[in-house]
Amino acid sequence: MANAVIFDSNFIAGPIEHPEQMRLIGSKCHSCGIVNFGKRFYCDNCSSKDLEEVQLPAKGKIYSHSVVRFQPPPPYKGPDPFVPLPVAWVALNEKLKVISYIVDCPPEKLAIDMEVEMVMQKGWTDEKGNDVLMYAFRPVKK
Amino acid sequence: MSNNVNIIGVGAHKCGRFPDETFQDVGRFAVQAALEDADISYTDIQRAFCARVFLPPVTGMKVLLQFGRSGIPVEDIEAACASSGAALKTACNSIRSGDCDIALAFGVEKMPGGFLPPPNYNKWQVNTGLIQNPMYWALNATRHMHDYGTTIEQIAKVAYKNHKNGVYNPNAMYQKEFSMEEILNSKLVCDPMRLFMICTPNEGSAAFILCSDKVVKRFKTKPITIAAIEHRISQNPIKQVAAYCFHDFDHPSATTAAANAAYTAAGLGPKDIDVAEVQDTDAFCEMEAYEHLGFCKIGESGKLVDEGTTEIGGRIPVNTSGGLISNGEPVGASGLRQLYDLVVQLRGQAKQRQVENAKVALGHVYGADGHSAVAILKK
Repeated sequence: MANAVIFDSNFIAGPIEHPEQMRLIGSKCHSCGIVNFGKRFYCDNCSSKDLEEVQLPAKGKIYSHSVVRFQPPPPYKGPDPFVPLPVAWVALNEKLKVISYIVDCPPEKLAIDMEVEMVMQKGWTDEKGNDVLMYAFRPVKK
Repeated sequence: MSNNVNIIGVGAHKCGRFPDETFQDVGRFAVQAALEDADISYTDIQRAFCARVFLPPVTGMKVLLQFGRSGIPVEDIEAACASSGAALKTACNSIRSGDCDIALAFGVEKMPGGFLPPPNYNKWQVNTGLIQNPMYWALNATRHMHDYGTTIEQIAKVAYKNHKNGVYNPNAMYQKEFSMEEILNSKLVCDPMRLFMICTPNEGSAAFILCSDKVVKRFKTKPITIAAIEHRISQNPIKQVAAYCFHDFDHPSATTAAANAAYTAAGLGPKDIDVAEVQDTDAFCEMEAYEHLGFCKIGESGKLVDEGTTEIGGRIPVNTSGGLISNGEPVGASGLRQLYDLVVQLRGQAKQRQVENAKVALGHVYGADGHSAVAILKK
């Protein structure tokens, strides 16, 4: 079986053997208070260096959505053959929105303010044959 | 010392794809046309600035060496879709600083077809395809429709207008009118945006000969004044382009920041603009530009479209050249291509597309990572 690796250690942390426990990470700014997505050297908003690594919420809400109907150009390594991909800005707090594919959701069900939760799934296979785990969001089951 | 910068010659290559021409050919065409328009010799040029994005290093020099080794310096300038604006600003600053009296600013591009090749994004963004421009435009459109009741018909009307204007522009890549039905039934690219609502990256060039007030009387051409040229990069929220996150702050968008700086520099406001070329990479982007440039309030661009305000004959005609939707986007040259069309308008040479009594024109570009440039030209 292929090894699993994470897509980028600047954006996610947690035990890879338990992907359901992994969380997106951010950099909380102690100067202006915002939470940046991923590790950073300086705050995106105020340029402060006073940042602390934090876990981002596993749940969020759709801020806006679309469906990608064309296969992205090389070096795109997603599903082959290509299937239309629901995509959204997901609001993780009052200010922060992150880009994400929305899985387990037919395009016609996409809606602004829909509650979604993070899930790790295979994004692509790397040069060494490893499964690269990538984040996505899916509707929260009611 | 006067700070005025005058446009005394312009030239442009047709927009499209030209497999039989090198970038040197495409660039030479516009520069030669601008020299002929100004009725000056290449050896009169004292400084040159070349905008390009996807072409290799020393592109500017490779184009200009065709005119002979006059020994003048030429620099390549790259700032994504605002490259032309950045090159124009640098040329203006060179004249204003007294570094030279006659400068050449030109843009040139050659590109493969289809979606833009991914530039410097994170590997995971590129491998998963989370970087494509149309997706971000579509996300903005969806939210705008939700917040303000903007309709897909209003978005289609902008595409209809620009295709229609392009019919009369001999330099446009597509000179074809499409019906609203054809636009609304064209292939879905990213919901709700469809194929005939978006532009394609392509090839072209545009060149401007600029001079100081000190020497302007030497030339026969009736000059057009550059009243302002400003370039800004987005603060948060940056949601119009391929970013992996954004923060909802109330900073002005890059377009608004560049426009406000340009209005201040020119001593003018949005109500003074007679004709404009704006970044319609997709039809919704044009509507967003109306709002961010101050042509209407935030959320009211749909109303502006329904009232026909931005059609030829309306209060402020936008993209009379056919816009990027008809011309395509020769990325490095696109901003100067727009300004070329505005000079044609201000000179009263736009024929079927002519805006009556056009005296003040605004050009706007917006692109990767939130680069925006806004120029104001005056007759």
